[in-house]
Amino acid sequence: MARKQKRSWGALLTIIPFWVLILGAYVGTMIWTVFISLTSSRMLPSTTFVGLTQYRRLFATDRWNIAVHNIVIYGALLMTLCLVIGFLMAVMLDSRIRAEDTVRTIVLYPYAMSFIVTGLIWQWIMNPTVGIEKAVHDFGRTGFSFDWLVTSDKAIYALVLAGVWQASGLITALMLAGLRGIDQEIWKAARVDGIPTWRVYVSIVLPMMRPTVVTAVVLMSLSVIKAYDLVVALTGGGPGLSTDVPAKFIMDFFFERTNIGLATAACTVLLAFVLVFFTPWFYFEYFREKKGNRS
Amino acid sequence: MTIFDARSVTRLFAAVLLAGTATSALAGEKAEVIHWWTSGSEAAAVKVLADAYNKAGGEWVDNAIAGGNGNNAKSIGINRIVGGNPPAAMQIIPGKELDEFVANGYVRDISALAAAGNWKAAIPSLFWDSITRDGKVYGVPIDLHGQTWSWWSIPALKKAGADIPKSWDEFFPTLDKLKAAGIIPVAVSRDAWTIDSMWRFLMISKGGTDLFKKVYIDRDSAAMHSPAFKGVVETLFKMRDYSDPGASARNWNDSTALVIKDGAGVQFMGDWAKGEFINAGKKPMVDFACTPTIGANKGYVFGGDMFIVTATKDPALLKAEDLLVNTIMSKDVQVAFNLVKGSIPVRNDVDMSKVDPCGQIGLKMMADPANQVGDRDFYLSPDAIGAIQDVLGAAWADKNASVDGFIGKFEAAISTQ
Repeated sequence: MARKQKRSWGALLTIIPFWVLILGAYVGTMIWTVFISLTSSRMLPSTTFVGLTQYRRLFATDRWNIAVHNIVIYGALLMTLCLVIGFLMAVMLDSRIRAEDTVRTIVLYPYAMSFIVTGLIWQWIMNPTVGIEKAVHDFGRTGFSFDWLVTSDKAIYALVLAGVWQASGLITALMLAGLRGIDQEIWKAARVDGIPTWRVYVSIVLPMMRPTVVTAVVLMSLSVIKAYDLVVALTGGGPGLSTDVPAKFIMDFFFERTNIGLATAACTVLLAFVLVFFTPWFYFEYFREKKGNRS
Repeated sequence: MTIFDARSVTRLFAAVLLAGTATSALAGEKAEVIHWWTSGSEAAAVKVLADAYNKAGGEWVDNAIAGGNGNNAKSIGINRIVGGNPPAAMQIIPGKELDEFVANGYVRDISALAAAGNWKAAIPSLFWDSITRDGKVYGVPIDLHGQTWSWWSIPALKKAGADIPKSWDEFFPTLDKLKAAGIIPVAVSRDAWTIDSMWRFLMISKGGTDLFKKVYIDRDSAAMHSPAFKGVVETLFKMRDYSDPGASARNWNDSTALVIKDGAGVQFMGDWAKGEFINAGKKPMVDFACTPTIGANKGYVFGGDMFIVTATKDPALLKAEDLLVNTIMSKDVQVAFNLVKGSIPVRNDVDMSKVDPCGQIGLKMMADPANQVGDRDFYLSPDAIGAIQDVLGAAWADKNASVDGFIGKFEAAISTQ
């Protein structure tokens, strides 16, 4: 009994630092950020309250609107492509192919690279003067052009390409785990009923993998919101502002332009965006699931 | 499992707390200096400074914080000041940045030291203004950088059968010749600030000092809609045809390397590019040529570096700061430091004979006050400068950008408070 008491004290003491950390580092800084966004702070934090002035300026700033537009395109394309490619590759891996372990390693390998490395690699590959375009030209096909990286209206797709290359391995691994979790009896039953394989995947397996898909989407949407390092390494936000993203906007205004009022306003808008759009959905998904399990 | 029993946890906790308090407090005669001079020639220049300070009886505590334009160093310095553990001195860029430091009382008034050292007579008046607020001196200037130079590869020009253009009429024909010889005419880099360097070169050299001052100091709308300004914009837009697709993957020094290897004709960049040429073993006016302007307009857009010393009541730290300020502003140190760094001394009462040919051109330009033009950092907030760079970067990348549309956006950007 005494021993048990001691142990719970230890547990309590251990947990306190984490609570301090969570309340101080996350909630505390969040409140501070929102507060600063309502002040006239520039290089140093100030307490002069200016209401929503920073927000008005933010939404009137071309660059911010471009950044938001870009993140929506990037996010939608990245998630769709990763889910499709991830699922197809998982199905392929699941069909008992030879050297599955090797293929799985290769597929997951890009995910082991940081975004900075990914960005640099793809910058070289897509740079018209040293990469694919030059290689094809050297083979004699001089009409070939692959200039996504240096063309304003295509550079965002270069970003998507690099992002998909990096992330689809992880999604494949998740999907594969999901597929392996499907009861083999279902396949047997479907075979007895003579249902075509693709139909089983689409109508039976996919709906059963809903939790896996949700997890994949959650993971990817977090990485989309955070997208910064890939952009910096691959395009630096350019050409011009064509691949600017909110995180880069925020970092620039925090550190380069020393306008922390505007930067924190942008942070707050991002936070609000996440809260308004993602939280109800996440809640719905997980809540629904729990309920379903109980019944 | 008894890993988490109460005693060991509290012990661990106490240890963590102790470790947290162990680091702090600056000792007396030492002067800790925060700066961002980390590249080869910069670090060598800092060593000159540190040696001089140590010789004068102090102890230089170097705190070099890497990172491009000093943003990391500045934010660490600011955090240290706000947190109550200030360094003796930190580097900032002359201009608007000083305002907030002064307004918050973070910087020490060094008027007495400035008067004793006769600074006012020795440094350019614009630089003097930028270190003073309400008649009090708050900054220690250390070097002058020419912000808008053009760097030409002499072998590349020879190969193309061209010469450095002597007027703006010869400018594009020269670039055409370079292009015809299979050389990239203009080495452009991906970052917007490098486009801004090129832009300001055009502003001072094609537009002239008057236009430059009207636009950047007065933010004069009429000047921004004048034919002269339009001419500058058109020239910038036309230069897009003389770049190459590889530009969007190059940093400024990669572009300099391209000129060094004679793969490109010219780069528009501040005088820090000179360090790259010299490090690569190239000789000014033999392997590469430098000119701050083309044609009839003369003007030298200068920026510089300065330190601020932090406000303190600690007598030992005050003493260390005094020694530091006097060391930095001494004539010998100014010359020795700037020779290594590639810039020119802020004091005009020093021996300039050792300066290289490009530096001599700069000195000659600076000798006439009519040519002295302070860079935009003197007049604009970092915010406005950034907004202008956004406009320039976007217009450079967008081949369909219209001149009038650009002017409208430029005017809005420069009006950013």
